[in-house]
Parts: sequence; structure tokens; C-alpha cells
Amino acid sequence: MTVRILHTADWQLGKPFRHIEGDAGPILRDERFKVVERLGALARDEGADAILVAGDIFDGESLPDRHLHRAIQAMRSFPGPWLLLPGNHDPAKPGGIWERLRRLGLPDNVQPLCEPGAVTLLDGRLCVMAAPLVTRHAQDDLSAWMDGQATPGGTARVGLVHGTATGILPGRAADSATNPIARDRARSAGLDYLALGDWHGCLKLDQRTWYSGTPEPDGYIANDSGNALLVEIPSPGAPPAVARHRTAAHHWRSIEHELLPAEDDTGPLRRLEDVLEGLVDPNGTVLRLKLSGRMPAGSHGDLMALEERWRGHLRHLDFDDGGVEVEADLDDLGLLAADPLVAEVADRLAGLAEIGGEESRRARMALRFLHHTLKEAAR
Amino acid sequence: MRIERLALRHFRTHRAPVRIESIGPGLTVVAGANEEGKSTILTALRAAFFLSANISGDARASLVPYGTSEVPEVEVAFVRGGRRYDLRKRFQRGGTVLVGPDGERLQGEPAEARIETLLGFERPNRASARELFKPEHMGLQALFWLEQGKTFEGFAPVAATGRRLAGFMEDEVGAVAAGEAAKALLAKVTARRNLYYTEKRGDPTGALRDARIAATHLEGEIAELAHRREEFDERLGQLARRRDERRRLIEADALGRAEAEVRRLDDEVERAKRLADAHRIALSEAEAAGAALEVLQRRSDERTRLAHDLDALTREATVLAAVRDERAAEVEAALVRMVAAGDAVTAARAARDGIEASRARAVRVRERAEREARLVRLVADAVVLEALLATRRDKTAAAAAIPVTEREVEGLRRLEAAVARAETSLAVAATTLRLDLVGIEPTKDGVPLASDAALHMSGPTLLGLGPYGAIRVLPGGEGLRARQDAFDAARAALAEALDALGVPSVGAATLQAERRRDLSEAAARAEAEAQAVLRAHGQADTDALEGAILAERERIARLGDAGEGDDLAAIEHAASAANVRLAAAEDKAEELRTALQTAREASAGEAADARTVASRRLETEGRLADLRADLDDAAMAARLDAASERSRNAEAASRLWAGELGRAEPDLLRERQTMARRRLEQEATALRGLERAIDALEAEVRALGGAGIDLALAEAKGDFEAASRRLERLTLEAEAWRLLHEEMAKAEGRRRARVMAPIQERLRPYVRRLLADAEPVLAEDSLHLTGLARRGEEEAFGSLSIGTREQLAVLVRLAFADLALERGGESPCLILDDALVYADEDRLERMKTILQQAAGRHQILLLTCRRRDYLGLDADFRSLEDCRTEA
Repeated sequence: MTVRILHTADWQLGKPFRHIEGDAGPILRDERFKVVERLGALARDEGADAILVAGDIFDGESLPDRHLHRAIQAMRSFPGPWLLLPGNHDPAKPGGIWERLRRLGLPDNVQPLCEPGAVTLLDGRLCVMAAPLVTRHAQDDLSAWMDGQATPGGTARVGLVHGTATGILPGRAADSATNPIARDRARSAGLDYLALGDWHGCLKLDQRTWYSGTPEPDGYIANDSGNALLVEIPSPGAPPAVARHRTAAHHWRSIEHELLPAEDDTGPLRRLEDVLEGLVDPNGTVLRLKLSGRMPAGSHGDLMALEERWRGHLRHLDFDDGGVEVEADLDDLGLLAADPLVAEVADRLAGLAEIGGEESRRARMALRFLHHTLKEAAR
Repeated sequence: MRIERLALRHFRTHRAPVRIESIGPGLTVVAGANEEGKSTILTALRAAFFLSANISGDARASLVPYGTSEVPEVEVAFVRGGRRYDLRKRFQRGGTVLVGPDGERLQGEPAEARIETLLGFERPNRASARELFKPEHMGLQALFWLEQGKTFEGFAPVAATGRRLAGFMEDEVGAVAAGEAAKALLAKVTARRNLYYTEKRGDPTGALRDARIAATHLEGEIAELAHRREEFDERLGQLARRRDERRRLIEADALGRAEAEVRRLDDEVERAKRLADAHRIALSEAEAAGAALEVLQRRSDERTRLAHDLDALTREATVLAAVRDERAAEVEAALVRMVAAGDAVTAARAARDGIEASRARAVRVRERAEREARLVRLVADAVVLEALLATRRDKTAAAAAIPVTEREVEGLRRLEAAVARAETSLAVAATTLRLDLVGIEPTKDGVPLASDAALHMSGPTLLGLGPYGAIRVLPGGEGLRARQDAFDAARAALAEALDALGVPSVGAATLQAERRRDLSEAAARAEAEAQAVLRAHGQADTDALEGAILAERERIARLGDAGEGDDLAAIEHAASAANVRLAAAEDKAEELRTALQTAREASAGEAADARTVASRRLETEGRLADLRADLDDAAMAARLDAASERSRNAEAASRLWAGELGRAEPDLLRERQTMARRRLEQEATALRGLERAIDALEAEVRALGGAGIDLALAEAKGDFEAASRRLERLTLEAEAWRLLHEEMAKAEGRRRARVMAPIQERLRPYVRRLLADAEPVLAEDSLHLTGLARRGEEEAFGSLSIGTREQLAVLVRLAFADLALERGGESPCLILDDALVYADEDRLERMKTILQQAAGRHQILLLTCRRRDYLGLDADFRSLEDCRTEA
């Protein structure tokens, strides 16, 4: 009688990651197809009865056929039912991507749920009530109809919805949400489980209501993305057991680090090195490193060397040291002291750097260039 | 630096030794002719200091006298920093020897190195002939040596040595301490800045420009893709709407309903057709019954009309008979009145005729009386006429008896006037003698004269003076004789004419002529009166008058004796009344005749009418009898009633079907049937069109979906994000480099301004001595004199005259020399090789004054081919020829 389903969402297949410069972009794009294969394997390994995908299977409505073919191919990794719910990235518009997908020839076990309604499967043990998006944005709660939906006794009632659970998600205003979903839909509709999609992090709203999040992270927001949920419903009405399984190949980290000029004898970059060394899986990490603070001019070369080194270690490094202020250690450079003109320029730039705003950024960088040039000249 | 001695040989044009010894600290003028080798002196000096003795190739060959293989050689004795040096340079390997003030003797490379140090320059590694003596390889000193023909070619030497000048001033004065490192740094920063911005306009270039272009391009690409995405959305929306429309159509079964409506209307139309047929038959039957009734009715009406006509004709015949009787009596009475009127006319005509006879008799009586009176007047006038004719004859005869006529008198008067003119002419020419004698009776040609007479003498005249004898006068005026002859001839002609007429004088002739005229006029008057008498009786002459008298007498005789006549006026009145009465009687008779005629004509017409009526009555009576013979009146009425009943019934049936048909509205039904069929066709067409549109849209949407617009858009946005980050980074870098460059350039500018100030201060007085109101303008970056400012207007150096440029070039050197002396304690040696050849007299004098004063501070060596120009200067004049010595 127990029903086991794998809850996943927000694959966004075809997302290009072109803003990630270098080699990492294509790898990250490719990884989103690979994670589907891993999901299939996970379902197979865990004995899941079905895989429920709560929307945004594709990144857009207009994707090349090769992406659709590849998605179909990836879903061959699990022979059980794949129930695919159109989301705001891939709404079920007439003539849209789902019709194209069907025309390309879907395996029988892959079932897009392009119309709102209940689907019974597993010989009547499971009834999935789907609320697909047919436009990018809906102002009404498309899951409302589930409240009155009757199902035969002995059937596990599972809702599959893509949107914003009102008043809960961090950073999303309660009154301005598109594709809203009543946060107590599971209770009002008597659902054993409500599988939600759209929020890319893994999030439990209540005992029966979960966002699985995207199985492969795609942003720096630290919201516990990169998982799938194995949901076990012992019997209709019984609380489900939800187990989180890590599926991600990459970690996305955003680190803001403040440099302190002379924190110890080992120099201003030691602490930063420690932070970076502490990364669990550097080769699978996409890192945004934003530096601030102060640094002696003499250490700038070291910082540049550090940047280059970690670009090699990490999957991708988004390096921003524009906030670092180079300290005018003019005395360290005898050359400077001997040339009043240079000293005059350095003084003026240092003064500009104190003003604040863009002018300060320019002045700080100009000062850094001055030091760099002087150092080069000295060599 | 000061040069004390110079010697050279085997150097270019100077194969023979040239020695300029004991050159003083002030002004030295070395004069030489053109081509004598003045400029070679300057070249030799440069070679000694700035060329290595080891030079080879074309550089060395350019120093060797043409066509020889001799070794060029230059010796210079100079003072530098207060210490005296002897330099000997033979242009061969190791040919440099420098002997210092303390006897130190350096040779070869050490000597060359010491010279470099002393003069502060750097030799080139290698130098070709064309690159000899480039300013950058000659140090500051070269600035003060002005080569012939090049002094006005701008200030390239100044530019090249500007940096050294600054260095010199910084080293010497310490005013500004911007060193070489800062300049190198500025160059590096400029180079980096120029990687991002164009040098002149400051436009983005290189990677920055590429990044901007890339970002802009991506923005355009995103906009294009977004537009395509919107089109895709639009097509999806269209497809959804079309499918909805199709679904609604199918759900609403619009096509089926349209087909059912067509079928229903087909049935309705068919029923209406049947109703129309039934109505048409009923209508036909009603028309037939109506036609039969109409025929019967017409026959009945004809019968009624004939009976009515018969009654009317009978009444009309009765009336006509009465009228005929009355008309006969009227004609009879008219005849009676007609006869009476004829009698009245006859009586009136007889009365009138009697009166007319009386009137004719009275007329004849009156005519005879009138003719008799006229005869009396004719006879009397005939007597008068005779008398008048006699008078005329008498007068005419008397006039004819007088021979002198007025024309002849006129001729006499002309002759008499000619005599008077001749006499006057004679008197004018004659001698006039006015006598005034007392007691003497004068005579003329013996004829006595009055004692106080005036004498006109035209011929020899003898004047007797009484006892005193006589005086013979012989007048001698012009033409006197001829005038006397003319006078005599005129008098003779007059006398002859008078004789011919038989009159003694012109006056007598005039009287006779007047008498003759009076008689003629009296005869004419008698004739006129006679003609008046004739005209009064209308006759031409006397005979005619006589004829008229006879004719009148004959007419009177014909009238005979008429006796007494009645009063003609009364008779005329009675005749008029009788005529009136006759006319009235005739009018009355005519009136009665006309009335009779009218009555007779009316009677004839009425008789014809009566005959016509009678004829018609007979005919009508016959036709009515024929009709009644076929069907009597009662049977006719019965048949008419029956036909009327049938017609009413048929019309009622027709109305019934018409009502049915009207309610069926067949026209409306046909219209609705057409509309329903059209709608069915339209619904079918719309559905087919919708299907086609959906097919087309599905194909299009599939194509657009497969085109990967979202992927491309996401990629473009990602690329744009990356490009924007890169652009932002590059922009920050570029702006930082630009900021650094600007700050360094500004600092350098401030430094340069500080450097220039002392030069400008020293140059200004020199320039003002030459051009009173001019201010020198120096370039900040090169210390060039770029021009002059006069009254706020800046003149570019190149626009100044050659002479002015040449003079300014010398002044700039003097200013620098002053600065070097003041700040460094040692002045340079100035060498001017024909440096003022373009100066006019005034300018040359000014420049000489300036040079004379400058020579108090600096050593100045003037090389010139115009020695006389510099006479008057306190200078050591040398001749190049004198300096040349034999080998």
C-alpha cells in the first residue's frame, strides 16, 4: 500500500550559463541533463514508484529539438512513470514546447500534465492532482480546484503545483506573488503530500508540503539547492516520510571577504587562503569572491597570483577586488620618495579615494596602477 | 664654457691648417668670403666635442677633404667650470687626447668619456653622415651654436635639449625636482592610458572600445531576440485563440445548426410554394367568375341604357315640334316688317334728291359772280401794265444817249492819278525857292509871282526881280529831266482821254456818268413793277394777260344767266338732314333683313334636328326590341344574380389562400433560406479557414519553438552580463589609467610652468627691445618659442618674417645663456654663423647693440661674410684668410 515517489523540480534544461565565462558555462549547462539521469538512478535505487517533476522542466519555451531529445533520453534512466508539470518557464501553451515534445515521441512512461486535473496511476494507489501553468504568470491560485476533488478510497492524494506559496518564501512579497499557491493547500484539499516547484532551494512548508528545489544548483543564493525528495506515503491520510537526497554535482558559493593589511606576520592574504582551502570540493565549486578591506601596495601582486591559482582550482571563480583599497606605502618605494612629482600625484589620488563613490573607486585603482607601474619601473 | 683656441687641418674644405688663437671672452668676429670655410669652423668644433675619433664609414668620410685620404684633425682649448682643457682629436682609432688643468692626460675612450661628462651629452652608438650632429647627441652646448641658414628654422635644437635644459636648471637651481623617473613613469602611464583612449580625441579604443561595441552589439541582439520572442508569444497566443475559437465552434455545433436551419427553411419554402399554387388557382377561378358577371352586367346595362335613351329621344322630339311652330310665326312677322322698311327708304331717297338739285343751282350763281369780278381786275391791271412798259422804254433810250460810262470815268481817274504821281516825283527832284521880297514883284519866266511864293523849279527858270534884274535858275537834281518827261506824258494821256469823251475834265465826265446811271435805274424799276402785275395774275407777259382776259370772258358767257340762287347754306343744311334720314331708313331695313335671314336659318336647323331625333328614336327602339326578343328583362335579372353569387364565392376563396400565403411570407422565407445557406457556407468556410490557420500556426510555432529563441536569448543575456562585467571592469581600469595620466600630466604641467618661468623672464626684455609691445610665448612641453603675443593677439612663430624669426632665435639663445650664467655661474660660448643676414638696417643695429651688451657676460663668436655690417662693435675682428697658415 505504501507509495514512494521522488519529488523534484526546476531542472531548467537548456539553461546556457553564458554569464559564466570560460569553460565552466558549457559544463554547467551539460550538468543539468546529467542530473536527470542521476534522478532516474536514484528513483530506481530507492524503489520509487514514480517521479513527480513540479514544473520548469525546461528553461524556456523555445529550445532546439536536440535539447528535447536529450531530455527524453535522460528520462530513460527510470522505467517508472515520470509526471512532468509545466511551469512558468515552460507553460503549457497550445502549440508550445509540450506539444513539440509529444511530436518528438515520448516514451509511454513519460507523461506531461498539461491540463489541470487528476491522474490516477499505480493501479489506483496514487492520484496526482496537477495544476499546470498555461501562461508564464497566473494571478489566481491554480490549485484551488483540488479542494473539491474527490478520489476513491485507498488512494494517496498528491498535489503537483508550480508557483509561490504565499507569504512564506524569503525575498518574495506576500502580496505581489505571481502564480500564487495557498500555503495550506495540502490541508484544505486533504492532500497526503503537496509537491511544489519554483523555489530553487529545498524547503519544507509543513509536514505535507515541500519545495524540492532544483537538483543542480544554478545560482549563488544559499538556499540548500541541489536535492531531490524521496516521499513515502504509508497510507492515505498518514503523514509522509520525506528524505532529502543530494543530487548536485556542483556547489555555488558566494564569499565576501575583508582583507586586513597586517593581521599577522603571514601577510594580509593568509586568512583568505584559509577560507579558500576550506572549500569542500573546489573542483565542483562555482565561487563568487568579493573582496573588500585594505591591502599594502606590495601585496597586490600576491593577490593577483592568488586569483590566478584559484581560477585553476575551482570550477569557476567570479573575482571582484574592486573594493580593496591599496595602502599608500610610499615610503617602501624609495623611488617614489625621490620624485616629488610622483609623490604629489599619489597624494592627490589618495585624497580622491577618500571622497567616496565612483570617483573613489577610480582613484583607488589609479593608485594601485601607480604602485604597479612604479614597481615595474623599479625592476 | 669658453673657447680660447681652435685649430684644424685636413678638415673638409680646410686642407691647410687654420688657427684661431687667443679668442677673448667677449665678442670675436671672424670674417670670410663665401665658400671660404666659415661654417666648417663650426662643424670642426662640433666634431671635436661630439664625435668620437673612432667614427668610420661615410660619417668619417664626410670630414675628410675631398679626394684625399688625410686624417682630419681638430684642436680646441676651452675652459669649463673654471678649468682649462686642451683637446686634440685626430679622426682615427684612439685619436682623442684630452689634457686637463692639472696636467692629467687622457687618450682614447677615457678622453671621450671625460668630454661627455664635461659637456653633459651622450654619443650615438653609431652615426651615419646624415645623422651627424643631431641635437640629442650634442648636449646643451649645441643649443648656443647657430648654424648658417638654419637659425630661423624653428627651434628643434631647443626642443631636443629642452629636457636637458630643464635638467640643467633643476640640477643647478633646484627649483623643481622632477626627475627622469617621473618622466619615464608618465610615458608608461601615457602608453597604458592610450591603450584605452585615442591620444588626440580621447575616444575609447582597443579593448575598451571592443568591449563597448560587444556590449552594444549584445544589447541589439537581445532586443532582436526579445522581439522574436514576443513574436513567438504572439503566435502562441494566436494559436490558442484559434483553437479556442475552433473548440467553441465545434461545441456550439454551429455547422450542424446551420445545416438544420437550412433544412427547416427548405421545408418552409416548399410549403409556401404549395400555398402560392393554391392561391393562384383560386385567383384564376375568381377572375373567370368575375369576367362572366361582367359580361352579363354589361348586357344588362346596355338594355337599361337603351330604354333610357328611348325615353329621352321621345321627349326631345316633342320639344322640337313645339319649337318649329314658334319659328314659323316668327319668320312671317319679320317679312311684314321688312316690306315697311323698304318703303321708308324709298321716300327718304326722293327727299334727298330734291334738295341736291337746289344746291347745284345755287352753286352756279355764285361762280358767275366771282368770275365777273375777276375779269374787272384783269382789265384794270392790263392798262397799268401798258403804262409801265412805256416808262421803261423812255428811260432806257435816254440813258443810251449819254456816252460816258462809269467804267470810262474810272479810266480817267487812273490817268489823273498817274499825272499826280508824276507831278509829285518831279516836285521831289525840283529846286524849291521860297521868296521873301519886300518891295519887289517877282516873276517866273516872266509870269509874276507872289512876293512870298514858294517856287518848285524843274527846268531852267528865269526869275524876274523887278528892278533888280532877273535870276536864271538851272535846276540839276537827279533824274529831273526824266521826271519832267514822265509828268508831261501823263498830262498828255489825260488830255487825250478827255478829248475822246468830249468832256473838259474828269469832274464833268463823272457828272455825265452819274446821270446815265440814274436813267438806267428808273427803267429797271418800271420793268420790275410790270413783272409784278403779270405775276399777280399768273401770266408771263402782256400777251398772256390778254389771253386770260379773253378766256374769262368766254367762261362767263358759258355760265349764262343763272338768275337768283337760294341760300346755299340753308340748302347745304337740309341736304345733310336728308342724307341722315336716308341712312337711318337703310340701316333699319338691313337689320330687319338680317333678322329674317336668321329666323329662316334657325328654322332650317331645327327641322334637321327634329329629323335626326326621329331617326335615332327609331333605331333605339329597334335595338331594344331585339334584346328583349332574345331574353326578357326578368330572365336577365335572374341570370345576373346567379353570376354575382358565383363571383363573390370565388373571390372569398382567393382571399382565403392569399391570407395563408401572406402569413407564410414566402419572400422573407426565400431571403432567410438564402441567408441560411450562405451562413452554412460561411460557417464551413470559417471552420476550414480556422483549420488551415491552426495548421499554419502550429507549423510556425513548432519552427519558432525549435529555433531555440529562449536559449539564444538566455545565452545573449548571459553574454551581455559577462560583457557588461568586462566592460565595467575595463571602464574602471581605463578611467583609472586616465585619471592617473591626467593627474601626472597636470603635475608635469605645473612643473614645466615652473621651469619655463625663469626662461620667459629673461627672454621678455630682449624681445621688447626688438619689438616694443611683444610678449614671447613658449610651448609648455618643449620650451619652444611658439610665437609672439601682441595686443592680446597671438602670432604663430611660423607666420613671422624670416628676419624676425632669425633675430628671435638669437634672442632665445641669449636668454638661455643668461639663465645658465645666473643660475649656474658659467655662461656658454655663443657661436653665430651668419645668423642675422635677413635683418634690415634698424634691426641689425638693435641686434648689434644687444650682442654688444651680451658680450659683456658671454663669449660670442660671430662668423660672417659681411664684416662691414659689424664695424663699430667693440670686437676682435679676425680674417679667416689671416688665420690660414701653411702646412
